[in-house]
Amino acid sequence: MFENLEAYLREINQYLAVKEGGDEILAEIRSHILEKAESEFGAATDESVQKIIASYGRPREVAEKYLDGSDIIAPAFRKHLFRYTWLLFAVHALLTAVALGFHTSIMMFPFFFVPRMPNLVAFVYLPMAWLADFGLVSFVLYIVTQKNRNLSLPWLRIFRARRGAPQLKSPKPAVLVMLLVILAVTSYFFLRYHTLFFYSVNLHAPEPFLNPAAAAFLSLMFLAALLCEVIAYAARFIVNSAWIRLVKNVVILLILWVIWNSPITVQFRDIPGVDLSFVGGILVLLLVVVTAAELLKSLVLVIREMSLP
Amino acid sequence: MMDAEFSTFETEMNRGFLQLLALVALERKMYGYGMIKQLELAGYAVEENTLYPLLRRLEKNGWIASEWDVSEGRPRKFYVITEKGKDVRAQALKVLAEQSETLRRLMEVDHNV
Repeated sequence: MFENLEAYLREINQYLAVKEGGDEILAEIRSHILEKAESEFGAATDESVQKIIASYGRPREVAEKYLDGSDIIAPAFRKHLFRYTWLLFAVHALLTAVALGFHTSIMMFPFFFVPRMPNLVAFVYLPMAWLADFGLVSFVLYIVTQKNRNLSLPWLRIFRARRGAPQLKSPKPAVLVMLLVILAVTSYFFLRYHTLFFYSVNLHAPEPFLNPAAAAFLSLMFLAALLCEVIAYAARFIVNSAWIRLVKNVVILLILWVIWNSPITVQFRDIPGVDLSFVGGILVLLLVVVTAAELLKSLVLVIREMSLP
Repeated sequence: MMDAEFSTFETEMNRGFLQLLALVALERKMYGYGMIKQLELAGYAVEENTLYPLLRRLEKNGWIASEWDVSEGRPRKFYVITEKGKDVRAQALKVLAEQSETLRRLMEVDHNV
């Protein structure tokens, strides 16, 4: 028993990640080193064994040679690793925003658990969520690599960026001008009449159709959304990035959330008995669906942007 | 820099060649250290930490088989080629001959090489 040889083999064993036959590998190396020491130095002694160990190679390098072709994650999945992670994190971040907005916890077994937390805690929670998502994706890709590394991941094709092709259409000055005109006109109406909702647009005798509180509130929300649209469109002249579209959709969703949670009763101005909350609610829901779809589209574009070199 | 580049090139060239050498040498039952010595006699130096993982891969493919012999005091793992290994060896030798012939013809065309 040569302690230096056993220590060397123990160190190799630390790095030797083979499913079976690890002991046999070590036994073969032991046998080889002892035989070579005897053959080259006449006898296996601590010194001769040490010299053979030195020439055999560093334990880590020796162990790595047995791992040839057995990657933890196939190199071809490297891009998928980050694409999947960012996609998962986008969902995670969205759920976190919802959990914060509604002061609740959200659980979607087995992937997501967003606890109820104060807003500031989210700044700590989200980086941890990213790491958890990265870990989960790594684990899945590890399983895929070990079981069937040739498996294709077809649904990821929608995120495949076409190199060289523009991801977003360039903003047009005429559209910006049109948006600014609409913003100016609606702002004028709001400042003058405190509402944007009329039976008829007669400048001399306008006929608003909602109760004043609801009319002012909903008009203000509409203006906020329109302002957001104008700013986002104008910003695209500076940086035409999908991130702008993403942020815009998030802000519009927040505005819709404020409308949804508003305690203001919506009624006809001239028929006070009729409650329009149900019809209004359906309208808001429709807008939420449309905006959420836009948000998902912009998420796809953002992921494409990030996957470009 | 050139030496390092050539070293990588040589390693790549040797990867397949060493497998073929092992399949040829293991026509006769042999253990690792004995095999290294025999290859040295034939003019091919191989590092032991390269040969043993390679033998393990060949065995995993079913091209060679192994058994431990403890009759001489020190346990030794002996290897020998299998029937499947012989088929692979025959094909590999054919490929090698074709490659050599291709190279020879190419060099005949360009006499500067």
